[in-house]
Amino acid sequence: MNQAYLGKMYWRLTGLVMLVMLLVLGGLSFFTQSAFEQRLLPDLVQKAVTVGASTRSLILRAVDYGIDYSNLYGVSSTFAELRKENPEFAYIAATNERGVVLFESGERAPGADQYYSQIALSTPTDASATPVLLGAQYVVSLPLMIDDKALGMLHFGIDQAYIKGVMREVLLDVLVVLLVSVFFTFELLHFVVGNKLEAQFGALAETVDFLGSGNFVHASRSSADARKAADYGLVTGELALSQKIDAALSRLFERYRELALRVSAAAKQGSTLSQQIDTMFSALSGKYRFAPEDSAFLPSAIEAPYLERIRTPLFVFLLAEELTRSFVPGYANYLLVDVPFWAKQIVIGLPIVLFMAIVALAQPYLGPWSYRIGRKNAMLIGAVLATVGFMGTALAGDLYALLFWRSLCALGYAMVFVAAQGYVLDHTGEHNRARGFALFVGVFMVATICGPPIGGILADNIGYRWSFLVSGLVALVSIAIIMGLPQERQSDGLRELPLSFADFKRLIKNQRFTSLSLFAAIPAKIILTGFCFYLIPLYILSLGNSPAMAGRLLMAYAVIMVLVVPLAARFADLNIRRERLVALGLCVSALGGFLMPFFDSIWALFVLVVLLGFGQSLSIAAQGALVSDFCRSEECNLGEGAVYGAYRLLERTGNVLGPLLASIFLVLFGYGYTFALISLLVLLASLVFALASGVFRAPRSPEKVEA
Amino acid sequence: MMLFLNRFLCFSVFQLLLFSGLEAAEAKPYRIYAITFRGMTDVEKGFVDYFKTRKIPVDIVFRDLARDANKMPGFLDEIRRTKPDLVYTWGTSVTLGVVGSVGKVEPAKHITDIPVVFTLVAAPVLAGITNDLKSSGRNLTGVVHVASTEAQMRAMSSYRPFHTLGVLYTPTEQNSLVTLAELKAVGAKSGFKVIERAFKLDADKKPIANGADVLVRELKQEGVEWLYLPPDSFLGTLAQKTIIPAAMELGLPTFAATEQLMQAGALTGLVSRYYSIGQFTAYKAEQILVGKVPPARIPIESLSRFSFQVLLPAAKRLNLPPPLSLFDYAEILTAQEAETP
Amino acid sequence: MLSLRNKFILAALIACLFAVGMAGFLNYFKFKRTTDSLLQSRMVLIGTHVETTIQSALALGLSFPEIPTVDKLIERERASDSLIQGIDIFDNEGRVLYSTQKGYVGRVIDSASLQAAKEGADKPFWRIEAREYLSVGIGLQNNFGVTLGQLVIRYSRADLDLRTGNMGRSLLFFSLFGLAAAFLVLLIVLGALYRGFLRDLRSFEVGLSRALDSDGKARLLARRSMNRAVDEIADVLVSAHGALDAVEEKLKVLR
Repeated sequence: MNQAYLGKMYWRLTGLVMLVMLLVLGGLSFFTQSAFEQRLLPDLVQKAVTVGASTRSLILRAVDYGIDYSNLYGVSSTFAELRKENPEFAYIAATNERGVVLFESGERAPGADQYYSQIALSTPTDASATPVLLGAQYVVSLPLMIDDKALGMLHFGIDQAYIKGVMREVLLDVLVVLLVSVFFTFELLHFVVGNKLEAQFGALAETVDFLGSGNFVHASRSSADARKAADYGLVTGELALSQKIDAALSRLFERYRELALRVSAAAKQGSTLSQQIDTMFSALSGKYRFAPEDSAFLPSAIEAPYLERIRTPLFVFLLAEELTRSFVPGYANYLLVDVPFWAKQIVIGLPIVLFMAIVALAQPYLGPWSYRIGRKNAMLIGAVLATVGFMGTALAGDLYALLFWRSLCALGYAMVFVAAQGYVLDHTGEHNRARGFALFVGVFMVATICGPPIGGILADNIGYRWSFLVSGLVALVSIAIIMGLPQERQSDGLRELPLSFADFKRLIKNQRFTSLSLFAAIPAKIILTGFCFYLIPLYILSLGNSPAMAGRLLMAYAVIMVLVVPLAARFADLNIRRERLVALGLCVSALGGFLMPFFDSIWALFVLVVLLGFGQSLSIAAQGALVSDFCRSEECNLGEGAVYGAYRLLERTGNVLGPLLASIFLVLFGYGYTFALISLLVLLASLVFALASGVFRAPRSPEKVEA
Repeated sequence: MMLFLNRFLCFSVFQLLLFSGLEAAEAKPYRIYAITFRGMTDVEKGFVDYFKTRKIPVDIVFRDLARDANKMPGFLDEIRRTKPDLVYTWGTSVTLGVVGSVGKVEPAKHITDIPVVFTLVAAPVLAGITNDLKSSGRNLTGVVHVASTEAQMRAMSSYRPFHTLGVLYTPTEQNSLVTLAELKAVGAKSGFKVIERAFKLDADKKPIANGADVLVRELKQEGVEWLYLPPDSFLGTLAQKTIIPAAMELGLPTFAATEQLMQAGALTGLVSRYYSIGQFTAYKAEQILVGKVPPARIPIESLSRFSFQVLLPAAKRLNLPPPLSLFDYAEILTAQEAETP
Repeated sequence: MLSLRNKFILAALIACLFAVGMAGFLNYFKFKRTTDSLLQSRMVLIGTHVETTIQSALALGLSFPEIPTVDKLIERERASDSLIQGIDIFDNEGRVLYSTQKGYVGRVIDSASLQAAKEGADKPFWRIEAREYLSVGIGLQNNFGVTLGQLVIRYSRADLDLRTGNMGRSLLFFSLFGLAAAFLVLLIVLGALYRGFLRDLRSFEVGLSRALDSDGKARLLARRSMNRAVDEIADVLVSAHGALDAVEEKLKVLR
């Protein structure tokens, strides 16, 4: 009975839901397929008639000039040309008056010959085109007449596979939706079922743990928590278990108290035996905890449900922003205005650069602010700003308006982000802070998996403006959910102070910190935002693909992250030096870019994204850990929060630089070399970092490490 | 892509012209001095018609050289005297006579201060009229009437694909030598062989007509599948009487580089219609007169769409019917049209 | 208050709603776009045919506003396709030169078409989506590449709307049907899962209760993996009581 059991339960549930979805979507596809076929066919037939009419007039013109119908030249190649222009035709043929094929292009359907001669005999004047299914072709036949005399017929074979192909193009998107649904279901379970159940499970599991380890005092307290949580609605609908725990514990406590009195009475005798008993009794409290005075302050298990409650509002809010990732550059391109002296590519990158800059610069100030006005309030204000921002973006008239509304989004985003982080800090202690941040990062990753592909699909089908409106609606929903958050107790919060300039200067003097920031953290962000948020969405459009494809690629990146980060964390626990992981990760993330000058295909981009995700996953956890490795003394003086604050601030300048550099390179060198050039820069940075941190040197001896 | 861009550019230039064209409508007519080489052709008709449909008032003085170079100085004097707004020149000889060749311009003799628009020049760079088609760098621009060799070869192979091409040419005509070299270059690129035969020369290095039909027969024996008729002056004089009949006799299809050769009875050709050439020339004149664009900034061009002509009687006689798709865009000439040039 | 089981089903149902809804959405728009592009390519085909004819006429030296065959040609093309509402040809100033509609010639074309033609000058064709109709336009150029005017084909939008509307309704029906099916299956499958979940909890509860009631002395025979914790607690309880017993024994001796 523990938290893991509940997790397993969720996954089993998600798996089942997935299975049901797969079945339902499969069935739907089947029905949709036949509906498509049935409803597209008349249009395809009509098109065959139109193409047929112009082909017919061509043939008749030639015949009119006195060229014998059977002696026409280049008919098959004309048909082949038509088929190339109209891929829905698998076959085009011209038959003579007896239905014998004279000219054709494509594969003749089985049974066609018989059919042709049959209709040649029956109704040569019938101009109404009714398709007949031969093999995998719907054949439409049109008569060729000259002065009421039948020359023969034209036959167009409409490819059944073409109609199926139309569906197949949708199928990829449906698969993406299915994958997103997995994560979505999981989040939904957390939301609908989670908070209360998890609280109860948490408290119960804790009680069981305490009981199992003989910590009866804490067990008693947890049990009380469980009872409190159970007020929301008990797992099994009974309170008996908790009461039984209490009963069993009070029996123990009763005996203990009674014995304690007797032992202390006996101790007054001063005999050796009584002393022995006293020692024996004292030894008991080493093994078990019976008395309240044995316990130090214990963070209540009830914190956990409060912590979990940040999950859904944060997810929904982040989702709103992530939805827009795959098409912001495209939208900027769409709203582009001529800005004098600025290259087009740079102007397109501006909304992203501005967004990142605002987020980076505002964060240090927003932390203390959100503490002052309360995390929930800060999140609310942020979400409202972002909602207005999204709505405004949807209606933006030109690029300047876009810049303004996106800035509002950025400010809102930064507020919610910082306040949610603060919320996590507030509701975790030393012992479970890691779990709190894992939750935060987890929510973030799930949002980056779900958002871009869905946003891309939306933009693809309903356009940029409506997609931003959807983002706005999602943000609106997040407001409603944020309102359901508990008003926090101010006193428990950790005070964050804005980083002073003097502190910052001190940190910068730490060479290892500086080299980590400059040559690892910033380049990692440059390649991430430069590629994922700017270059890829634009490049995809330039290849003639849709934002949906950009969304799929961004999703691939996020999925890789989710899969590899836990593995990388295990690596980091093994005796692999963190500097090596960081340098290696950076190198790997840069590799894909070098493909781009040589291949301009989606597959090359896919490889790039996978390598990028893999590299970033390898280095990201190690980077964070290195900060505290490198800044031990500063951490003691300035506090962990301040050191990390400075680090994150530096790191975020990379977010700003990424799209900026990418757009400048793009103006100068075009897509292929821009990818390669940024990769080269990152690769060089990783080398510098490796050299500076001594990755290539032999591992230092333990004494030196101590020093 | 280039085509679209081109389309776009033309569109905007056109709009500009429109605007100024309306303004100019009330002004006094533009005076144009036109010199032809061998009397009035369809080119002049297209030229005049263009101004008419565009409602641009022009006053055109036509002078005919009638193949007599001695008349040129008189025309030049007249131009100096009357000071027209623009000079129109027909063909390479007339044009060179008026503007002189690059590097050998005599300001006293040649016209430099009045814009010149030439027409029906096959190879202006080769003729020394300009060094660069994009800009003459001089006070002149004009229209080229021959399609690029590559486009002609594409057209030919769309009629009937081939591996071996025969060419007849005059070794003393610079123009033909260049065409031959181009043919070989295109052949090397697209994988066909070029077999050439030069007309015999007499003691004065003048080409002689005798034996031209023998040359055609030789080519046929070498296995050529097409006979290409380049824009060669001497060949032009022999085409209708000797060369084309000889080829027809042998069942060898002929491909013409000019409308003149088409009229001489060639099977097919990618040519500029003289009327269209005249309209295009007038369009360039309009840019200079109404749009006030300096001639040096107007490129020297050929039509963007040539006429793919097919002489149907020849096709029937050779039993080589045109490919079906040609009936969509080619000009199918029947016997009567062909016989009345 | 929803029971836990119903909460499970609710969550699963919302997730299904999302997936099925998105799939329906995707299919709907795919159908719409495919139909739209099929109709459009048909119109462009017809337009290109007219364009070719006009260009041949221009090459023969006919002036653009005075090509005698064009009126008949566009009338024939319009009659050949029931979808076409009208075909107009206008010059660069927007003056209609030829039209299938009586009395249109000489008028000035709507500004939307002029604007679209201007913006689409570098494309093979342009299109307009108006409330009542759709149209495609093709630039007409003479043989030295100068645009003389535009050809515009207006065709019915109602037809497209009707067909996509029908498809939308079908898809909605399929989706609702699919959701209902999903609901039923979920009811059964999640019910089973939930019962298993409850069984686990019950057995844990029973085991733990028994252990607690007996101060660890009574054990359950049936073991589930999660009941290892129960054994552990039972052991601790037994040993704790045992330790207390030992102290008590000693105290007895002392007395």
